[in-house]
Amino acid sequence: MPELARRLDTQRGKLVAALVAVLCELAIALPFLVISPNTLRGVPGPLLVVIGVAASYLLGPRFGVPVTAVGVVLAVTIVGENAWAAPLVWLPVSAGAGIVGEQVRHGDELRRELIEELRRGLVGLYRDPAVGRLNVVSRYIPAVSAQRIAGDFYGAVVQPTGDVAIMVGDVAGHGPAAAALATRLRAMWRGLAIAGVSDSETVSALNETLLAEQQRIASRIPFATLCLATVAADLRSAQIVIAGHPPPILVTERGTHEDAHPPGPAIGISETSTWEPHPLALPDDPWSLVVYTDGLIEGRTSPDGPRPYGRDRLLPLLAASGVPIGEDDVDAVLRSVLDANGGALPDDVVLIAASPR
Amino acid sequence: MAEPGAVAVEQVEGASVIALRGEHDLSTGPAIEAACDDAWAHSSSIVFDLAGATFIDSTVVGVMVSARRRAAESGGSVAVVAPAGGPPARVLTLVGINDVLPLHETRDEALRTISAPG
Repeated sequence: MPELARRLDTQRGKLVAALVAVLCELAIALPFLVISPNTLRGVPGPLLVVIGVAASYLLGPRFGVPVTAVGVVLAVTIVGENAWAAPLVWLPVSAGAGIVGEQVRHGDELRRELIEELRRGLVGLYRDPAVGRLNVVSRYIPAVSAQRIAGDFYGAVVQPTGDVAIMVGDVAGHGPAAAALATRLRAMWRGLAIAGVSDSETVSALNETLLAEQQRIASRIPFATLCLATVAADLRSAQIVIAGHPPPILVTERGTHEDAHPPGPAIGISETSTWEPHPLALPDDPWSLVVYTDGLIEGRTSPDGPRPYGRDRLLPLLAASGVPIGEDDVDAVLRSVLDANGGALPDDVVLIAASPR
Repeated sequence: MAEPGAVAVEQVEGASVIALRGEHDLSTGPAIEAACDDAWAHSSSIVFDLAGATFIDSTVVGVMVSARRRAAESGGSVAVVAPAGGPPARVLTLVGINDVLPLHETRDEALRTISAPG
């Protein structure tokens, strides 16, 4: 429910702003409770400017500016001397305060929208888990704060041959630069995958792109990791290409099998890097192929314990899920990891389980 | 109890050694970057000593990759101490950075490669 989450986020922002305004009000009003008003002429001005900023933040300038102005005039005429001259000073100030409040609010909204739009570009939330002959269950948990953004991204598409290409990536670094780059890499992967370009050529192309971007925009993004898994249309095998990323895990009724081939290097490090695909045989029995980003295994082992959570703890969790791994199972795995960490994880997490339909 | 991340810079045999202890991630990234700036100001060679680090994430790897890039452009050098089998070595091997930035078992070994380049 991204819409609900957004509204809750907005409501929380307003609540915090209101709380801050009340605290400021109390702090500034305190002297008036213990000292005679006549000794502190004109002091209510700053208080009302604060209220004005808060009012503008909460209500917008249409209400915030007049509320501030009226409040200032009333307070100054009641408390201060030189009552009729004071508004000349405080009116422009309060109007300015109202405008500042509106800018803050507008900037906040814009920031929230940008983050949301970037995230949409990173993961392209799938309503329908059916991708070709596979059911692809995916989860994306953004990093601790809803206001921060990292560079995890993923996608799944059907190729012209009927093969299903699944990709998970992680741009090193955080913030808008990482997220923007991740959306570009994801779009490029998608185009190449739909056109049926081989996974190793795709990774090479993404490597060249990232190296070029580093030159062009003097980017602070040092590298990105990728895991590409292409499941053949006959569901008998998959091709795996890894660039510095945790390998996929095949889960069957007999347990888990982690792809043990040495991974290729992350992209964006060297122009001479190459990536070899290696085959993964898929059984006739039910199976699920799990791909994820390192955020899943880098939390704490217990709320006060050391990091990382590690693959050694993830594998039994997946084995215990049973196959095929469905919506409830991925949620249960995530819950276990979050519980061990003692709450939200410090980094983005992507967890995907693909199973035959 | 988890050990919080600590960063120390010292000058050894003409190189700057940045020693990391405990857990390092996004939260300590800026401190490591600041240590790099400090190190570059004193010498053209940096040794990242991760022997005392119990955990590093991609943020730390990123700082080291950026340092290597800077060294390559300016004629300096970068070496990494990460004993095989330790947590930092596992992360660095997975990312594939060991191809371009070899890992050393001890600080002495790393310092030797820096003093005798090529």
